[in-house]
Amino acid sequence: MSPTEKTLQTQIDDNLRRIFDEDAQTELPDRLLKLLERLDEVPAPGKGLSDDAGTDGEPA
Amino acid sequence: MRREDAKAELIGHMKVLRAFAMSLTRNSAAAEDLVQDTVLKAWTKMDGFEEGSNMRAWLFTILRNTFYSDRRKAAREAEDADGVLAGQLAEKPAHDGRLQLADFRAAFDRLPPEQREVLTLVGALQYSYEEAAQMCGVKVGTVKSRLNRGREALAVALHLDGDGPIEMTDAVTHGVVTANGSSAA
Repeated sequence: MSPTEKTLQTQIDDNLRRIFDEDAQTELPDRLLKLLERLDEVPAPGKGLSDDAGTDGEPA
Repeated sequence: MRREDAKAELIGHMKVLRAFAMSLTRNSAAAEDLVQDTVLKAWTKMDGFEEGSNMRAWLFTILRNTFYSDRRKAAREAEDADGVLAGQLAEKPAHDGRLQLADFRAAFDRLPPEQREVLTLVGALQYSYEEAAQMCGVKVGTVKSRLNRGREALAVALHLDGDGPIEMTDAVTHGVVTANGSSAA
């Protein structure tokens, strides 16, 4: 990678980080706060549920 | 993992989880829906989460899989497909030589979600190619390819050539970011 390309990549990544941080600093909406408050009411059946952390949902 | 501990850790990831959802959906309401679905799924299978492993990466995986699953169901493919980008990204920013964060965000928003995803994971959050590949369920080469295409599209859209610094003209945002660092990853 040339120095120019490296500089460009750094600039882009810096800005990616900035827009992500901007979103990450936004306060959570009431809806999500209430969800967290009521999370204990959600049954927790344990292992063996759908494998959403696996390969399900992989884009083509 | 004790559920109280799991809940506490989950709460600690909520804002970053929502930001990742925003990077995929580019819509606040859709991002909240996605986070809600992700949290509920994660919570109901928390007993399967391996204590000591990376909960944030685990949550990201659930979130992005849910996003793509929902997206397939909704069949909203046309405007997001790879390869339709070039014609949409030809408008030059209003301020020559200066890049406002809003310009960058607008260009980012027009990228396909597969590119936004890896740009966020690798470019913004500094995950390794291997970690991103695992979260996305794709090969490392696919991550690199999407990352390169995304960066190239952003550079073309914003007429960047790497010879000069990008000036942050959004002073408020810049100040906040600078004050808080970039510890999202």
